[in-house]
Amino acid sequence: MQALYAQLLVGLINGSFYALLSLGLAVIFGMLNIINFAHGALYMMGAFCAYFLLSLTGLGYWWALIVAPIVVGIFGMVLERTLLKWLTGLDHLYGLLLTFGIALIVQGVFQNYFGSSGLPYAIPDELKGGMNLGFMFLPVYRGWVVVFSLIVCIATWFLIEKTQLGAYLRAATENPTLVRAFGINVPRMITLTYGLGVGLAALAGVLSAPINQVRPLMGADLIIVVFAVVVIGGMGSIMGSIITGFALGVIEGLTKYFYPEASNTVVFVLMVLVLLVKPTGLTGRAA
Amino acid sequence: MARAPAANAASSAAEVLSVQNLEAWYGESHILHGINFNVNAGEVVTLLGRNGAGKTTTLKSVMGIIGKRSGSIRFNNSEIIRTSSDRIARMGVAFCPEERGIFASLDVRENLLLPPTVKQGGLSLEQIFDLFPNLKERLKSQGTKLSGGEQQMLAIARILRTGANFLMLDEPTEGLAPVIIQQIGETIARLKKQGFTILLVEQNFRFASTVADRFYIVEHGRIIDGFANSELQANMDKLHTYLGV
Repeated sequence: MQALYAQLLVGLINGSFYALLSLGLAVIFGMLNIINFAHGALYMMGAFCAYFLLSLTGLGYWWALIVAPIVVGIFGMVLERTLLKWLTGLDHLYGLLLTFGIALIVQGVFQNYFGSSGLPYAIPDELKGGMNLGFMFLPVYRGWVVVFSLIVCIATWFLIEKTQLGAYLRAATENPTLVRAFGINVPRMITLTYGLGVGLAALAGVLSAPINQVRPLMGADLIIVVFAVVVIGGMGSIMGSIITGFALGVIEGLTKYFYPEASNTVVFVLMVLVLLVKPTGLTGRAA
Repeated sequence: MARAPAANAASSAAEVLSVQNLEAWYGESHILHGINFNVNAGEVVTLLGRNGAGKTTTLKSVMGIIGKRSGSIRFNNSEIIRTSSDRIARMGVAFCPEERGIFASLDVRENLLLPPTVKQGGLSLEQIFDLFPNLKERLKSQGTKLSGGEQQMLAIARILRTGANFLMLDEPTEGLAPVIIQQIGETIARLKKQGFTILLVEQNFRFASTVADRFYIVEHGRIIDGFANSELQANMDKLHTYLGV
């Protein structure tokens, strides 16, 4: 039974990363209509940013949680201003190809300097150790990742669904021309939204660094599963991405316990089933 | 350059909008071929014309949401032909589109509060509910779940909040029941009394004749005629020919 709980915990942790990353993808797709294949590379940059902060400036994990999303978010905004904005109105395929190219370049540069093996990043002292819950042993850091990710996801959902800024974002997703004609600077909002989505990826990268080490291809390994999560949840759906991210992490964990051979494919099997039954995703709306 | 026809007579009053030799394109399609007209403070001016004449394109060009345009558009003596639409809106121009532009992902309250305040003096929510009582009862409903008339009221209401005092209304009566059209007519008359300047695009000539001070006739991307409401009876035959009614 302990093994089942352990797999459930692993599933929840993976689900946290899926949720954070797919949330960023959903925000970006909803607003910019871009399938951001660079998301995995930007997640990796978040982890590397934490690593550089520690090794070059001595700023530890807590600082990294704040600084890395800002730094990588600014990098994302520069990308949007210089490259992605030219794709407005074009087919999704162009955005996908461009961001895929960006991902390859960014990963290639990091791989060139740091190789493919992982760089260690220590768990902060405050989050070391574990708790015996009676039915299982819970490492504190892993519990923190789940709780913190959930808080960030809910805060992002609240921002988009329940605030005036979120109303601007949702309206601009539907009809950017009209929203701009109301006096809202939509191009600036698009840049900031891309920065927000990228910042979420970088935050996930920082959270991941102490668990998975810091590797140039850490995002490439994850991004395909995350895209499956977004497709299942419904492209552009914020709550769909959060719920699906956590749920698929748990399903993956349970599959590892009950039928380990299928654990790497279960997400994709579900994706196929969802696409067959509801092509817009579980919570997506038809265009 | 062709000047705007007779309706320009009132141009000695404070001119809010002056459009000169306006040309506009959708991609390769040349839609406007040198539009000339003006709107003075406190007036209701209507652009009349058949489908595809260029009325909506004229409004969109003034609002800055047509990509390619040339000529001159002066708003309160500032040239805005190269100005982005968000800046034009912040100068006090409000646009109510033909398709109403109600956002499905927003409820009525969010739709109403969406356009930011651009100037002091916009209507308060209480004043808006006084004009459109139906909206108050539907605040929590999804915007696109309202009836056509209610959606039109919402589309007009939300731009009244912003403080903009130059309103551009694109076919506000299209597809609405007579009783709702009458209500919108009364609203426009009230807004005019409150000092709003209104540029209206209409195909419904009978409705326009009850609210407008002046008319311009648009055909094939040009203004081909114009007259004041007081000259309406004398121009009736011409009008029927222009509009095919």
